[in-house]
Amino acid sequence: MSKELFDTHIIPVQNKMYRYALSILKTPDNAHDVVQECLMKIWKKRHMIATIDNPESWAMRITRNQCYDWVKVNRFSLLNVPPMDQADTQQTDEGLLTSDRQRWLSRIINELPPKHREVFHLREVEELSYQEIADILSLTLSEVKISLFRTRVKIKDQITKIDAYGLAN
Amino acid sequence: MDSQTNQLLEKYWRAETTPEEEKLLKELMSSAHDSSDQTHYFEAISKLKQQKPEFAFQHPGKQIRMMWYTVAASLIIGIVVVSGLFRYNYTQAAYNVNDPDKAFEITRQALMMVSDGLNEGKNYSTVQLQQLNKPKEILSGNNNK
Repeated sequence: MSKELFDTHIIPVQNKMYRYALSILKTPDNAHDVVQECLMKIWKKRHMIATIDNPESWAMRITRNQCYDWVKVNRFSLLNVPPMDQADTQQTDEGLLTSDRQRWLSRIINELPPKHREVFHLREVEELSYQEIADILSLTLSEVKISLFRTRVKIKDQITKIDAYGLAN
Repeated sequence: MDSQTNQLLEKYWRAETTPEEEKLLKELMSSAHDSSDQTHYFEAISKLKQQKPEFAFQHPGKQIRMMWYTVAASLIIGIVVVSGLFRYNYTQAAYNVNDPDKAFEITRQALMMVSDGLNEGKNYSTVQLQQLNKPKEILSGNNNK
């Protein structure tokens, strides 16, 4: 019974968990390892899935905690991590332009405070509700809204600057 | 861009959109064939959404089963090796004699066994040699006749 619950509620979320871990840890290998550990942790607690209101948020919260535990243990190895590059390899003008935008967005996201960055990722990429984000990050609903508002204002400002002066690398 | 998209964009930047409105806005922006910076922004977000792990995750149930198989295999190999070593030591211990008299007796018995075997061989070879001489005797008997 609990195996079926695990397969129906947790397995479909594993890519979301991976992307969330990647947004925190920056390296695909580390994100993969952490999510694999999370899956094992959740598997051991699978009897609890039936009693949890939102298993997806629960899995994401476990992923977050596991990521920060990993960061605590490996904080020195993170100093050598190169910035995440989402560049498109297409060498057409359009492709290069897109890769520039990707880099630009990555840079802006990386400059955000960690909490704002997580709120941005959970809302924009994973399309979670304010309540789900608040549950995962242990924030109030208004803190989530304010964080998202500030992040969007910052991005909008950057877009306005690009419109006026172009993209500076 | 049409007025609906513009309205949603304004709401979006004020962080007042619902998840449904944001979904609609992303669809509208992806189908909008212009190269504005706002369109590129939504395009960049949709690319972030497409990230997938290079290798598939292993199901934890399967992972635990594999772990148990490994433990069982290691245990079987361990038991075979330990029992083999025990058996070898036991066999070796049977040949170890510390009492000199007993050792002498065992050696004497072994030599006696070799000696008996040699004597048996000697008797057997004598009989065989006698049989080899038989034709000679027959031939010499015929000549005498």
